[in-house]
Amino acid sequence: MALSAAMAALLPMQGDTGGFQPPTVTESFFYDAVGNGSVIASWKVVGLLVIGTAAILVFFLATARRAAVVPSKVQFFAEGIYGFVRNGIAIEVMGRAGRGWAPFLSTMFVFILVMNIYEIIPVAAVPVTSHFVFPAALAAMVWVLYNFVGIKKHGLLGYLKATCVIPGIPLPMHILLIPMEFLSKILLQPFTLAVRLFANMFAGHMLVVVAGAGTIYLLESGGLNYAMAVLPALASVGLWFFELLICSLQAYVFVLLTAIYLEAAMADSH
Amino acid sequence: MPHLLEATGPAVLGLPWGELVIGIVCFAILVFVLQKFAWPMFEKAYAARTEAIEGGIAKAEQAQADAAAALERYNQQLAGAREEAAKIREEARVQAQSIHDDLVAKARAETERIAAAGQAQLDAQRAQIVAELRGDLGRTAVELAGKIVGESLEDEARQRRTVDRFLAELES
Repeated sequence: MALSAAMAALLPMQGDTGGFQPPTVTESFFYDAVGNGSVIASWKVVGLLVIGTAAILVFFLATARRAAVVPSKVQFFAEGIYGFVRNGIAIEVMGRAGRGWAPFLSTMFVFILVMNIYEIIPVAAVPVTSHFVFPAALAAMVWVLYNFVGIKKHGLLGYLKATCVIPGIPLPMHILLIPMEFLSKILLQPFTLAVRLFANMFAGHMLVVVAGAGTIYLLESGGLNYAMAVLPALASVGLWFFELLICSLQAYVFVLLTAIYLEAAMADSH
Repeated sequence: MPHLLEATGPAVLGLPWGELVIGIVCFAILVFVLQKFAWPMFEKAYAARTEAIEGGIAKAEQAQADAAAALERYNQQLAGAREEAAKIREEARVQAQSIHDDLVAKARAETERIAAAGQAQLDAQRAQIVAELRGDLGRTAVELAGKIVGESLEDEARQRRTVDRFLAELES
């Protein structure tokens, strides 16, 4: 609501040559690319990636090293994250087999969460996952994993049959449904997984950027617009909390879907 | 409206392979290091905590069971002791009774024996005395009679006849 009000306030400027120019994608994401960005699209994102990885390592190694029966506050927090993924996702979705997957899923959850949350951390201010390559790589890894697990358990043909053939439907329907199931389960799942995370973080960052740029523009243009700056400023504050929700939710959804895909690949019937 | 998605720089859906490689390396490090050094510690802490809680409960239950067993044992022992005491008392009573009866019987027998012995002795002495007296009396009587009559009753047949007649008179 606040955002649309802010956008409405911005609209009259559109005609003017000196009016509000929203930041472009290049300005928002790739302003420090190396060359055309085919190797490194943004040094800042690479730096955040490395710093985030180091921070995760330090935090969890420090809290796990002295993991006691009676936990300290920090250990309680770290354990809470692990326990959330272990009990809330891995065991909840995959049952007993989930315990074995809990470490991997926890690592993935923490990684995605930190790479998302950069979006709303001042100075960092850009989510690493808004570069399509990271969600795509994670989704590709998930795709390889769940297919590998399924084929390992059922064999190639058994896995394809368990995945694509829906039991208990009339025979002619198979002509229609087997290709559809194959398409959705084997081919499209990794794309939706990658695009969901990427699009949320990309769009979220754009929203934050536009609201921020709008605030600055209005403050600089003076007069009545000076007072109007309160609208995109409020929107920025609202967006901060909204994006906090989105960042956490997308990390959760990505890991939850990974668990569901793994579970489905290992399940005996459709 | 300027084109928000206008790609003048790197493509939005581009896959810069430098970032890809660094990302894979970072994620791989995280997966392996955390899997080896972080998550197992938390699992261990969970297990230890569960153990501590369940162990505590089990210990308390054990203690309670022990206490109940001890109480039961003491009660049994107490009942046993009571029973034993009653038994001992009863035995003592019976024994005392039997000793008493025994003593009474013995005393009675002794009394009878003593009385019988006394009686026998008495009888014997009496018989002896009677025999002695009979002898003495006869002789004395004959002497006296001889002195009185003045004639000797030396004739033995006569003497016996006289004594017998005297005695017969004495006994009648």
